[in-house]
Amino acid sequence: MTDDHLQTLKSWHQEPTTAREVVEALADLWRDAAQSRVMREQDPHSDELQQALIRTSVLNFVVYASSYGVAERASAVMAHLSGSHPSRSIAVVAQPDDPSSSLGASLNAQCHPGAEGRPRLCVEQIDLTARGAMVEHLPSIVTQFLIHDLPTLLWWPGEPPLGAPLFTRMAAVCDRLIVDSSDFSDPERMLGALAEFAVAQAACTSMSDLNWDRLIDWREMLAQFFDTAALRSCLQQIRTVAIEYAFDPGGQRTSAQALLLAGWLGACLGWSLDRVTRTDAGAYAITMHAAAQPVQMQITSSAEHPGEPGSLVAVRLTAGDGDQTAVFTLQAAGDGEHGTTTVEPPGSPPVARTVRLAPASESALISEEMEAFGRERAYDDALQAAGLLARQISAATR
Amino acid sequence: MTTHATETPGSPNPLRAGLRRPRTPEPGVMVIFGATGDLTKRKLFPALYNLALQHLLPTGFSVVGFSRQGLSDDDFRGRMREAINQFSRNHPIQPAVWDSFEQGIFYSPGDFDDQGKYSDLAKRLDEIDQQRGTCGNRLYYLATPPSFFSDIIDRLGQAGLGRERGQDKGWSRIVIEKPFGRDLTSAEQLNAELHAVFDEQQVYRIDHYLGKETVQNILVFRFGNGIFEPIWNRNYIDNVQITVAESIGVEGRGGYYEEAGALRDMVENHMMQLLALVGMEPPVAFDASAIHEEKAKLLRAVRKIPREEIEKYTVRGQYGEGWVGDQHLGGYRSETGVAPASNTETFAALRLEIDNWRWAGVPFYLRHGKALPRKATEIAITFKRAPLGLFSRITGELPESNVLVLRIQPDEGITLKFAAKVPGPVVQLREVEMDFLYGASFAVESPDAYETLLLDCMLGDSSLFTRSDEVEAGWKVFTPILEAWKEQPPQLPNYAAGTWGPPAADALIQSDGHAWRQP
Repeated sequence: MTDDHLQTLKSWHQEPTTAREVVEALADLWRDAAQSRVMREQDPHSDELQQALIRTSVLNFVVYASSYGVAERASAVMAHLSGSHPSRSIAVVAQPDDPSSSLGASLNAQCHPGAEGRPRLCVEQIDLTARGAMVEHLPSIVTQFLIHDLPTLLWWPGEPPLGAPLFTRMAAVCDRLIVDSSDFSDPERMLGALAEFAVAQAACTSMSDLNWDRLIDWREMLAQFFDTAALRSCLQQIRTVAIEYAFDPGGQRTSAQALLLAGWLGACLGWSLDRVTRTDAGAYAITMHAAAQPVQMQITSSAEHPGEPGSLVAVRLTAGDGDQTAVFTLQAAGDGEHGTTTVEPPGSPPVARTVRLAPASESALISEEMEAFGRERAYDDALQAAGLLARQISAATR
Repeated sequence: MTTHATETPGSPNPLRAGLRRPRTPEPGVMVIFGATGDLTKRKLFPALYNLALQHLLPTGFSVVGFSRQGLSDDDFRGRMREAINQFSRNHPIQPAVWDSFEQGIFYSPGDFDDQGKYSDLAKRLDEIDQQRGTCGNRLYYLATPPSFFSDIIDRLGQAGLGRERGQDKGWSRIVIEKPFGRDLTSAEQLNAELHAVFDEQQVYRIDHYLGKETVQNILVFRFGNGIFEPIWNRNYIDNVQITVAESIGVEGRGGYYEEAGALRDMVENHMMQLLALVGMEPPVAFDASAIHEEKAKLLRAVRKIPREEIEKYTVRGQYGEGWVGDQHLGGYRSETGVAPASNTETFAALRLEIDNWRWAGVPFYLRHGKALPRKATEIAITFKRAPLGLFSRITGELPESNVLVLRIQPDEGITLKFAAKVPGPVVQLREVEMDFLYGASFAVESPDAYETLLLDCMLGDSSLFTRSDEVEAGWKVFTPILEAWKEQPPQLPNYAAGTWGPPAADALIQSDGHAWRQP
């Protein structure tokens, strides 16, 4: 269901206002919506379809936006997802530099049209603007609006201020914090800091990263190579890993996706980090140790691939050596929609397969997050490994 | 539905940890017998293509079509490409994905009773193993009319393509579509023929109802929540009604339907599976064999209706002409392929009882028919009324029973009907419904049932298929009914298209003081 069909049933706006006024207005909002529908039922000249309203939520979805532009983008995502993951959405815009100290709020009760005779699915969106000193109170203000017993997701688009107390307090209010490491201006430094933050907050908040979700298809297809019993043993014999990402013409930063994938492989397969050497801007030669042999990993950028800067272009693994080498490749095609997986078992001809490998929209990534329950162990472990790698890279480049 | 698959080769794949997608099957070759038929183009290939789109088919996966028509590999590929464009939920076809997929599509012509062609097939399969790395894994899909099953099974055995292939040569599985036999004797015979060539764990009998999201949800609903199981028994439940209503007629498939009838087409297989899922005990593990154990146990406990009571507890009907909504429908006997004096039933209603501690005394009413007023498949569980009419002094009436309805299609979802107070100064009760609509809460397109079933079959997960003992237990209940019906010539047609069936069906349920629900 897309936001094209979402209709506003009732709305309310007030500025300045207080949190209590907003809570009362929220209760009145639905009463009024139901009332006006009843009145339409009684009006014999009304053309309105008689439909029951289902107000439902499966989670609380909070978005912290640094500007109205970001808030609008977030609202579009929320509306798009309201059909599959109806939630109470709370979009927060913070303007700490504003000289006043006030709170503004808008409430919207919105419904999907529904087929004739079927109930309409309704959700509510709360937009809060905190100015000046009010920004510091946002964590407790937001708490007023969370529906009990439902999980709370906090999405922080842009670069999160990892050291700031407000950030830590907002994270503490939520069950899961979602960032996007593709927005990090300095992934080498920030991934290390994010890994440390995750450990510090582990008791109350779990971490997620949309950039990690962009890796789902890559992880799945790499894992698929080894679903076959005959090739499973190759995992213990991996000798080389080559990760290539799309070059960032705007700067010299490396790819957070590449670091996360490297961290994921190391964490799943029990590799320990030995040393890192910088070979070029954003490019590294990494030596890890598996149980039986060293693993040489290369992270390089490719200027030829037209993908989003920092996005993965190719991953190539080799296992075994000499004439017993098996090669596994996953390569994104230049069309931005497909990729090719190739398996070359030793002594057998290569078998290739074209798969759909298209970048996911922001809505699709957030939707993935909404479907996950509890901690994502695989991400926690991959983040710690990537964080360690990032810290070593930072040290190597200083 | 991925349970713990019974065949997990070696240690688990560490790269899979945290991935919420199902495990990909091992590469293998699927041999479709009857590949030029309807099922292959409408269901099987679109399902395979959709699985390929979601990266769920492994690299090297191959298909060999086996049928009488003399086609080349390219002819067959072209036909399947058109079929996908026409019948897949994702179309038009994506050229890049199709080009890669069709590298694994082949065709092997042959008559089903020509042993030499099976040897050719065996050689072809070995070649494909070499070229595409399919590791000796084979899936034989019998998409042919049931009359060919025996031949195909026997020839596969003789060509060494069944169990004799040995453990380290990869797995072999055989998939059979319904109908599985016409009665107990033929079902037992078919099982015997299968077991002569395959082990039971290699046999996958498809009941595509089990692949539906809402049917899988029955188990999740019952056993994933703590609150329903304690009241899911004779102490709290008054009766259960299972309805599969279709608003269409036989739509030109009279020839097939004359051989089957409502009982064989729908009741004996799909409805008994629904009954099993609703009535079964909680399995000890969420794996195929534990689930089959409980389903088979439940089906064995269904009381066989004694011969003299069959007329009392079963009703059959056949539709005459009438109006379904705004569509006129001719009577069944006027359909193509139907004999003018046909006695085939297009409607069946039954009252069953389950003789076990959980269900003794609870009637299960099953009702299925064609040309009924609307399409609906639902399971309605009516609970016993509150023991005390606390409010009857004020309202003058006893409250209605609570009803829990699992709607399989359309409007997939679950509804609980209960009483609440009408706002106001007096205590007045009204019925309200708490409604969970699949479409509202999960606006994600569900996969076609065949996608789920094919994937499970390749993964070696048989929890959504039926086992030989379940099939035979079902036939033990229905064979006597079919025989009794054959002996007694009925007065047909006995209901107009667009009505809810013959009056006798109402009498059946009303004699217990109940009434059929309007779905």
